[in-house]
Amino acid sequence: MAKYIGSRLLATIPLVFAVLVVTFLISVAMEANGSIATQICGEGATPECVGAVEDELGLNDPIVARFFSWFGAVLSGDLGSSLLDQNTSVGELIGERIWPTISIVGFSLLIGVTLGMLFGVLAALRPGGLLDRVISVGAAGVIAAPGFLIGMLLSWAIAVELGWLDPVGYVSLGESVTGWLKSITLPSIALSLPTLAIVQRQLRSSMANALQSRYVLAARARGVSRPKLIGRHALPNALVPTVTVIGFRAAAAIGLTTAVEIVFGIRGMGEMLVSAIVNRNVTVLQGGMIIVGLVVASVNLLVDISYGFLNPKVRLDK
Amino acid sequence: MRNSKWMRLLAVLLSLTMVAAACGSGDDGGDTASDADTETTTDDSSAETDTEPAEEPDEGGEEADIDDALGTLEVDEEAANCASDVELEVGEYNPGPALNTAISVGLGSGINPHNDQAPAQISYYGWVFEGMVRQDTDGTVVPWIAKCWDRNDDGSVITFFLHEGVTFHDGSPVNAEAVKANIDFIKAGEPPQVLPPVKGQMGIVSSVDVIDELTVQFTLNGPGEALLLSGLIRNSGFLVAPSALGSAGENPLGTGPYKVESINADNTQLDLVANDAYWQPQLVGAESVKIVAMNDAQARVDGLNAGQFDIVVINAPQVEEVPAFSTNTTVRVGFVVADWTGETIPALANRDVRCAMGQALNRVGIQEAFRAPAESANNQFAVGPNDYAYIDDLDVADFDLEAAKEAFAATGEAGFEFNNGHLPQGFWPVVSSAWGGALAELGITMNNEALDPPSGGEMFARLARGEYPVQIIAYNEPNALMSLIARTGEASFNPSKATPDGVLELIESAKGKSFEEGEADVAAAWKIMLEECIFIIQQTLPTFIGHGADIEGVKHVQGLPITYWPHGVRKAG
Repeated sequence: MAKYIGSRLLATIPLVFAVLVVTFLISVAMEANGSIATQICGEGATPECVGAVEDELGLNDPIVARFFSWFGAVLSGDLGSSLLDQNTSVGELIGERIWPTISIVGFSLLIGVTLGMLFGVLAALRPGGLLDRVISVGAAGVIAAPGFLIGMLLSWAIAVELGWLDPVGYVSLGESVTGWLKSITLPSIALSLPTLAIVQRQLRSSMANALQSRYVLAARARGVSRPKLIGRHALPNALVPTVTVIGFRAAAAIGLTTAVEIVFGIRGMGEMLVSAIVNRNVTVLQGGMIIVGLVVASVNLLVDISYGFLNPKVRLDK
Repeated sequence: MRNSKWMRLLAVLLSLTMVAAACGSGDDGGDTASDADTETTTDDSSAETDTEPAEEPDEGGEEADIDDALGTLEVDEEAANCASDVELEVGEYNPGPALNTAISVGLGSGINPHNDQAPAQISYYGWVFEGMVRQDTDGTVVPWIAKCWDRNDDGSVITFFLHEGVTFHDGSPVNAEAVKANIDFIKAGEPPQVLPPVKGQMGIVSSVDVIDELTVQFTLNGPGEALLLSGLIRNSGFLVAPSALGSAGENPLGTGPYKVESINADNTQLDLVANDAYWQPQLVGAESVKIVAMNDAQARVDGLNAGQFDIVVINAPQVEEVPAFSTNTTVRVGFVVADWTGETIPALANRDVRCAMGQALNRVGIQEAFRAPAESANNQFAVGPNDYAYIDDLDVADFDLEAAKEAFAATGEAGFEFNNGHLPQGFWPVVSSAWGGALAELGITMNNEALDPPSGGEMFARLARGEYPVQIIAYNEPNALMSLIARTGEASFNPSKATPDGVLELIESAKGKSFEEGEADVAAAWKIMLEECIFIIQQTLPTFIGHGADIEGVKHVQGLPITYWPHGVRKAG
């Protein structure tokens, strides 16, 4: 197993390097009109100021030299300063923005995966039955409705009309545990629904197949109890494709969190990246993309490793 | 509120329709999240423009001693007496409960008034900083830290008499030396501490002299009382404690009713505490204030209605969703036919062509599309009959596309093509697109492109470079004279540097007069520019502030830079 994990870890390195290269190239494209130096010098920037900043940052150096200079800085943890405020480091900015996003994405995955699996198994137990139909229709509806729309409706109904939770803003865990839970509940639910629906549909499908497979029939013939049949024989096999879907959803949730953060007035990574794009804040964009890229690569790694646990054949093949 | 519920009901029905569609197709589909925001007001829409070339500080003036200054600058004794006539009413310091507010944008780079000039962001500054003068709710300039001011005969020397006992947040006194230090700093400043447009606001100042502890005299490059006052009500007029000049971003020490307690890393949350040493203690309305940036207008309104916020910036259609609101006009939006002498497009030299283009602009239709008040459609700088430099007999044709087509055809000019650069968000692309569509009916092709970078500074920089023959802009100077000067005469937006006959003379005449005395000249100059169809104004943009029913004292200010003054705003109980 250790060998398998090591091989997966090594396979992640080229992916991370590719993320860094793409991030760098995007920033090069964005600064083609000299926006980095102009942004630093501010509105009404003089040519002298722009020239001095370009020299200082090495923007006129060959692109390969610039990449390795930037790459070295990134490896040492230096993501630079925000172009809009040279007193704010990108690392500091991300440090402030990442916790709301992690909270929302983490909580939404917890909700989505847990309930998705529960409904998936329930639906698979009697395919075509009333419960299966109700759950399937609900899941289809959730998939069709955009997350931000669900978020707006939740915000209006639960927060504004009923006053049970706060409609906007984020309270940090350090500030108040209950405040934190209240502030992330609605956005997490909004973000979790597509995950819930997709996990449910995937697990329902693979679970239904598993329950029809010969080894399950054989186990049933041996007199294995129904809970054991589901929990120890069918579910582990049905989970392999579901884990892949969960991995995709985790990566997608990081992207989808942008709309949810805006609707719920939460200043997280998604909202930061959108602002960085609008304001051509290249260094913040670079930093954000690196972090998102690392998170996605890590999720992929975890998914790969989980295959090894769920299906011994996978790690033996390696 | 009722409309909002219907809209949401509609959203629910839409969702159900989508559910039905999804069930029908049996397709797992995917998320189709879209976070498009369709805000109709543009609190982040524009920027100031440089109005006068910046002058080097007058070293000689700085070194002049007080006796010489008194001997040569002639303080009017009668005017000086105004200082003793103005009695400050000092009430009790009694701050109310904390206030939570939300606006649409964050601060760019800390709360340094000299390094920021975006109008929406200036909403932050009024809580912390003040100037010698300020804009009142009707847009007029009134004394504030200065009790009053005096001018010499031609308006080239302005003397301010300051209130006694005003202090900065570090306890240092606001006196003539502090005012001089601020203006000298701005005039000598460079980015990033002082933005060129902010420096340009003081370009008309030749020197600042200390007359006595509370009397400070501004010598201008020429007549220009109105120009000086227009600069002083904006960023360049916000007084920073001398100890913080050069580091105001990290050390924001003003004179305002609130002191900065903290600002977060990305400048999107400002926490303030009451200034218990404020010189008008009765105007400190809250023990603390939190200002947060929240981009989504609906989120701000939801926060207000749920009691999380007390005061928020809202859009026009949202006035029905909030318990109470105030509104006033801010910027004027329109098009500048920069190449009106036909340097790059000869047809634009023909007044009839320009006026036919103007007649194709559906001002009211655009406002209706945004659900903005139809009366905010406007064809002149002044807001209404009571506003400064309002033109009673303006002869600009109303929208009539058929008449415009006929008028253009009658000129005998062939169709032509030009580019227009606009900010990418809010109403800018919509207004540009709407006019472009109408112009196409005339045979004129208007290619609209989003500005990159998308900033007000870029918009005016391109105007100054003459990059577009016709360009949409916001006229956000606080008075009509400033706007006129910014875009005529020596202003470089016009490739030929030409100005219609009579305009420069009227401007020069107005510059030497007070606001009131110069109004007729300014109106006459605007009339020429508007009737020549060089300025094609489209709307007067209102801003809206939503607040709780228990909030008192929100006084919306007409025009920029301040949306509402925080002084005296408090929560009942």
